[in-house]
Amino acid sequence: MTRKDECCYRTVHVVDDDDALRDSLVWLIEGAGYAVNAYPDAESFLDALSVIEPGCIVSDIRMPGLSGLQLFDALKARDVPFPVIFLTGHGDVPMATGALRAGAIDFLEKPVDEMVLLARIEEALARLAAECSERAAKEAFAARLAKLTPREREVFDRVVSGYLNKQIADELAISIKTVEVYRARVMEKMGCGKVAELVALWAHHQQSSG
Amino acid sequence: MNQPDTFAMVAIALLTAAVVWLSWLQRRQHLRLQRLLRERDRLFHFSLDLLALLTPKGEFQQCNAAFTRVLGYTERLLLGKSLFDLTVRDDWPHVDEAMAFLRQGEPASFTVRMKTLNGAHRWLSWHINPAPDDGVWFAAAHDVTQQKEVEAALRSEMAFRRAMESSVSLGLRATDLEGRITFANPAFCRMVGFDRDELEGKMPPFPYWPEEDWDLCQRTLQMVLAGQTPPEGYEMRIKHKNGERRIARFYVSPLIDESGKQSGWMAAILDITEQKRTRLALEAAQQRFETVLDGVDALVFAADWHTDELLFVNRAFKRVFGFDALGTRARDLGAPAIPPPESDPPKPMNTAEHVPEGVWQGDWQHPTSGRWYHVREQLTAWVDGRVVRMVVATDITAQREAIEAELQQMAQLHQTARLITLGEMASMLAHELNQPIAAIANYCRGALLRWRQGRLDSEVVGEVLQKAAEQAERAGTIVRRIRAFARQSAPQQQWVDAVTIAREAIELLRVDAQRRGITVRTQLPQNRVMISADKILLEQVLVNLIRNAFDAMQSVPPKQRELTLMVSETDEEVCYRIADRGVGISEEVRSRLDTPFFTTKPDGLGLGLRICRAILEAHKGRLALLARPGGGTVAEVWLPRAQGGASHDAQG
Repeated sequence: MTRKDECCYRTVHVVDDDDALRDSLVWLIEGAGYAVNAYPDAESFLDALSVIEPGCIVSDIRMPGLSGLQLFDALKARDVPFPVIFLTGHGDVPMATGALRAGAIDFLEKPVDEMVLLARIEEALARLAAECSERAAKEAFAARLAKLTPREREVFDRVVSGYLNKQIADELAISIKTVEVYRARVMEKMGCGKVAELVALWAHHQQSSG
Repeated sequence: MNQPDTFAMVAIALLTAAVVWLSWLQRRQHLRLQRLLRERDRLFHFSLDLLALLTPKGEFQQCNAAFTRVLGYTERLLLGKSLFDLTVRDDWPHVDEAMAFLRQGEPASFTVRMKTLNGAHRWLSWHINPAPDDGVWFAAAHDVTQQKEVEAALRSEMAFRRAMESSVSLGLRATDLEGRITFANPAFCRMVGFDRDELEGKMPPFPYWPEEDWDLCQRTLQMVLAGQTPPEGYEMRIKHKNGERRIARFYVSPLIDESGKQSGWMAAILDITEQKRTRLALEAAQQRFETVLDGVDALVFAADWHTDELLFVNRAFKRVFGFDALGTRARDLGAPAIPPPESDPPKPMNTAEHVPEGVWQGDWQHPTSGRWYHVREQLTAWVDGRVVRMVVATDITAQREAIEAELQQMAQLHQTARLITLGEMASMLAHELNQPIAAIANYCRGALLRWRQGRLDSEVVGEVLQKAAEQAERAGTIVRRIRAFARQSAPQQQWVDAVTIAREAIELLRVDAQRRGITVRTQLPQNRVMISADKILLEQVLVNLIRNAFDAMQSVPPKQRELTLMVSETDEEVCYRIADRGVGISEEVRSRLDTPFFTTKPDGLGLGLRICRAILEAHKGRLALLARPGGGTVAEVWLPRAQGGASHDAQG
């Protein structure tokens, strides 16, 4: 369910105020087979955010108007999971370090080695895909969980907590047979074949939403 | 004949006789009247007094020749004219008044001015008697003009004398030869408060002599009577009747009568109490003024405008120009002087009345001490009325030094800014140059990627190559700009003292050092060490290196924070040594020291040492960073010495 999603995203958004550099980046990245959109500044990228394909962002750090770092902060504030690769000139090293710490994929010094850049882009898109599929899985799990009846939910809670059917029956004051029926329904609704799988999903869900 | 006839005859005769007699009587009466009238007319015409018959309206009916003599009008001109016609308008009320009496049948007398034919007027004193039966007024007038004039002259003379006497403030006192007061004018009476009666006829001691001065007054009077008073007069205290003492100045001259004989002495007396008081106040003010001026630090003097003689000097002036300065000539002493502007030279003047206003000012340097003074010079009237130059010179050496230091610091700041800009420019240019290079790389690699995969469209190739070439051109432009900038900030070499540069660099950082708790020591030669260098750039190298040393000591204990700056010289070279006790330079850092933009400082650009090296290379010098025994670093700056051996003398 996870691996196949990786190759879903092939879009790269280039944000750079230098016309020539932007154009050349488009040419380079397109050459590697990605769909590339280019924006002359962070503002126009943010304006287009609602209508564009999810993808990775390749952005200059020093720009008039919003800087690359401000763009990064704006994305985080909007909970947009697009990974960002920063391009830097000389003297931007401390800035870029800060960006890394804040969660950017990488910063690359200009002029960039195309192999490194493309590898980072690939990596970033993979991370985006993972992020997206994870979000999707989480949403699906939550949706299924919501479909359980109150009684089923009670059984579910005890199953994932490692209770035996007997213990569940005692606690809920129902017969073991009935517990087994509920249990089968829960497994069916949650789309799991094995209890171990259900527990793993639950644990993951708990962890990432906690 | 019969008897009745006779009776009739007699009666007729008698009647006839009676008629004749009556007619004779009448005739005689008539003749007498005629004679009377003639007599009256004669009198009338020949009278020296002016006589006239006036109608009850006051018009001339008849007048005598005296009118013509006095007023100039002929009788014909006068007849029919009224009194008003002849009277000067101002005197009409008198005429009116008289007419009122006359109309009531009463006589009237009045004196008025009557206009004469030649436009002048004469004073006439009129006496008019109405004769109601005759229907005429008999009028007689007398010319009183001369009398009137004398009276007027006398009146004005009297008024003048009275005014003189009461208005003059000069007291006059006459004594006879024995000393008795024979005359005292009102002014003198006012002065002493005694009436004339209380003074005139008195023998000394006079009532206005103050008791305490009797002896003196007595002697003075003897002097007066002996005719030995000084021509400029003498001063004496006098006592007012109310006991108040006043000061008067007496001027005495002999009193000569009309026969030429001396009859006594006349003294003119002036009350000079106020003057004296004013003069004393002025003297006190002058005294205070001098005391105040003695207390100030500024040099103050007053010199006669014409003779240049020093009339006043204050203590500060004496301290600088000697305590015997008073009375000498300001110019001879070399006292501060600001010449008036050539555009407006003051005109020669002899009195204090036309002293021009305005102040000349400027800065003046004392030729021997070298101290600077701000000099304000003004022409003014001295206490004795002479025109003087009043000069106030304030020592502004400290201010001037402060200003100069500030200017110097400004210049240094400016140069520091120039250097900071140099660093910033380098960083900016590097960034800018990076852009086209990065673009070229991208174009090439993008093309390469496609070519490797065999999907490089030949049409697109040209386009991309064109773009790459454009970026190469852009890079070239930037490089040209860097070159131009480098030329601009090329060192400007001059002969400078290496020791002075060291001192100034330390001075620039003194505050910084204090703030960081760093002790700065210097070991500098006493003599000058001349080198050929751009003073500012070299100073900047030192400042950079010293700052680096400061930074290196940031994390060591305060006791250890000590920096030494040494300047030494060999035959060929001059060496600055900056020794710190900081953290030193690790091998790892040392290996990267020459990498551009390498920095160990959080906010550093990594250009400082590069710039230092670049500057030193431009000076044909070099930089060495050595580990210091005992901890820390020594930065050594080596520069070639000045050729020609002009190093040890004091040339500027």
